[in-house]
Amino acid sequence: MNFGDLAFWKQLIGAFLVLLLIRSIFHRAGRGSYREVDRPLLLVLSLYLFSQIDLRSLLFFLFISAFSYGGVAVLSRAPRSVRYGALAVVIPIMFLPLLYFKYSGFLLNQASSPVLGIGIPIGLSFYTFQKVAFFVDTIIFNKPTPRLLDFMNFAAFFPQLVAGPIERRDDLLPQMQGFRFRFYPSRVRLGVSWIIVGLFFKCVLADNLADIAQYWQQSLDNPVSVWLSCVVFGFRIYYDFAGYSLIALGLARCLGIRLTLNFRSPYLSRSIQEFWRRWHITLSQWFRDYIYIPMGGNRTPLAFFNILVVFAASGLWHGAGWNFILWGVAHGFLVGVQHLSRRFPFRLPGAVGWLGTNFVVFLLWLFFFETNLPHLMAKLQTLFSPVLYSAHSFSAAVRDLNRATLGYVLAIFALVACVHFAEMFSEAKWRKPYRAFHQTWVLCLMIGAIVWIRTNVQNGFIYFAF
Amino acid sequence: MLATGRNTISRSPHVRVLGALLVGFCISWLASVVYLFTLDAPMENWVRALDKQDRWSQHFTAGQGPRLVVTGGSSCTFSIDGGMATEQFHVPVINGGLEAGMGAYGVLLLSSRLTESGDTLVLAIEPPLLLSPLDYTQDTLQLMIRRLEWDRLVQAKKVTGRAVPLDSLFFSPCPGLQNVAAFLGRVVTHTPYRYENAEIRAGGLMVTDFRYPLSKDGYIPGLSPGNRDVLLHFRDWASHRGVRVVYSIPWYYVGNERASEQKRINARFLASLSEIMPVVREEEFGVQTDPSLFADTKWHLTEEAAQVRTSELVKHTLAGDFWTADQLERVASAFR
Repeated sequence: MNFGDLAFWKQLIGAFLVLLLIRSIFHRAGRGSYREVDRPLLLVLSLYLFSQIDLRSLLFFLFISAFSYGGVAVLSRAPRSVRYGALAVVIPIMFLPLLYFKYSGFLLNQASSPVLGIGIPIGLSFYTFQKVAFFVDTIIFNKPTPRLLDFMNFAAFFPQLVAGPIERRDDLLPQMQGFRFRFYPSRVRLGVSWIIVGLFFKCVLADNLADIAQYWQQSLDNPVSVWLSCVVFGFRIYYDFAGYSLIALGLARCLGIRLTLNFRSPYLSRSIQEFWRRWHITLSQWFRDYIYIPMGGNRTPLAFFNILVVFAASGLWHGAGWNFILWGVAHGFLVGVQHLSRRFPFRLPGAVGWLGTNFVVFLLWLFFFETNLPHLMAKLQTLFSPVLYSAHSFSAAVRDLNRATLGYVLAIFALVACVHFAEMFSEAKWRKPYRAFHQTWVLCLMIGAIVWIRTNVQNGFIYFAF
Repeated sequence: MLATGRNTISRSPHVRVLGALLVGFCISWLASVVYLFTLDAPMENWVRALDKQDRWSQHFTAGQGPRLVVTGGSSCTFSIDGGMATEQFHVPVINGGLEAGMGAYGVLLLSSRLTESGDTLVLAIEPPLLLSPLDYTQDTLQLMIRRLEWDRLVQAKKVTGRAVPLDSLFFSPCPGLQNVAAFLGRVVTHTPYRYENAEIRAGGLMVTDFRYPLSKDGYIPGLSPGNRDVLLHFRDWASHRGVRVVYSIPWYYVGNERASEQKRINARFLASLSEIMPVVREEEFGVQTDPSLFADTKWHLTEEAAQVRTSELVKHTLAGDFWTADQLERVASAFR
């Protein structure tokens, strides 16, 4: 669902009004209580909104969902030994579509993976992981198989279907089972707040950062330009994805559903491990619970190796390319080193840790957006060539910007700095991420910003590409 | 459905907060409308430019013979001297140039107001605009609201094959950060908008004294399948009205070392475009290596350069000098 597109909101409001009407008619006609119609109507709403993005992706999603549910329904009745053995077969099968659509081109050194005339089905990376988690949780931990309707609502719940958060069975399923269309002012107020913050992150910050990224991304030999492109991209991808997650959180909250807060001000982190506890939290937890811990976790001498494998897989999840794998491995290496160093009493002071963490995180974003390997190597060489750093490189980085554009760039940087300080303030005063943004006057400022200074050109959400 | 008693809704602090947010939205929206209609210098400038285009165009209606209308982004505005060309070639030449923020969609839509049966419309649209998705932009909507061009908005689907959802008009008053930052910068430094005092000649040419250093980088042109469809639709719509549509690649500054490569990729781009409409035969393929021809950007010409550019374009168009796809492919192969 492209939350930044006006068309989505029109479809949502239109469909919602129709559903309320149907709901009312059903009730008045004595065909059922609200309790009986609310859950089917929620599913209809979710599937309708998905169909508006891409009908073929919807059909594919339904096929995968049917397979997943059928597998759970059958295996949950089988003896334990059969269940565990079947997992070893079923889970790889569940990953096959992802492997084919996303990675076959990379593995076969081809540009794309065409089949049936469709590209990668929208949301495949996210709902595959969600279904695998559901499968494992149900079969391994012997949890009851839910009704098909509740499973489908769990899988298809529209705010989180396309780009997460990757919700777990224990968190989302009970809420789906007890779902009612009831609107509490407190929940709607909180939901609307999250939506406003998310739209501000996406439409004002991320999209304006996308606009200025062009000025430095092509540079191969100016270290200041390369650093600027890394910083701009790092903030852009954060605000883009966090914005999406917050809007999803807000929409769900309006409906009385709690989703997981997927980002917790990651650029306030003072260590790389802390960064991964704040960035794309549901994905990190998925890898921890379903890959790292089954491999032995911290309790094996191979913990360092396991961390590398997990982060390489995480990098690969983000994209089918060596640059993504390198990005993942680099993060894994740093996390592994920090894991090994936990025995040492020495700790970096907070400010140094923060600086160091952000230094490596923004540096490593270079691997993320520079998909051309020779260019990537050239930029790395530039960054680590001290002789290239000079006053000239600073002036060259902004030389081609006229006064108006320079003013625009500085305005964006100032805005990002203000938001960053607001995040710091939220943590310092309330120990809650983004708390400062929920003040009414701050929300009004954000609304003003969305109305006045969002970009005129619509950019899609970056994480749709994953 | 509402989980609180009706008579307590209005007293709920949460409802009051939601009300405050709604009021905040309304105030912001109204303020943006007022800004766009009264304080936005770029908008005032483009309204002034379009008014002048309309007056020039109306000068040549009522049976004065076919005309040549040239449209595009600001590269057209700053490079086509309609007055000089009309005098030189004894054919009415109208500069219908806009600005890049309108996007190619806005250019196509607004150019439709200037053309009549028998005219030739030259699309001198910057290739990067054809690479972006052809869709309406906020700038286009704002300008059309400002000029009260409701009928053109309604006809958008007929002209371009893509409609402008009328509800998007409601959310179109959005100055944008670049605009607001520039406005605040001008207020603080007491400097006028860059083109506030730019001369707009009767024939539509905009002339500026601003000069900025120019980078030597090139650009990547392209035409997506979606954009191809829009251009085909526009061409057919124009043809139905008796208007012939052709394309001319704008002049652009690149460094000497990149000129050959830029010509090659431009020739390839023009070859794909020639499948849709005739492409005016210009030997330099829009690539210029003399920075003294340019004003404040790599797309905007000085007055003297604009006159040269206009003469060449009008001469080749009137003579029916167009590239064929084979010629363009051969030329592209020759540039190595």
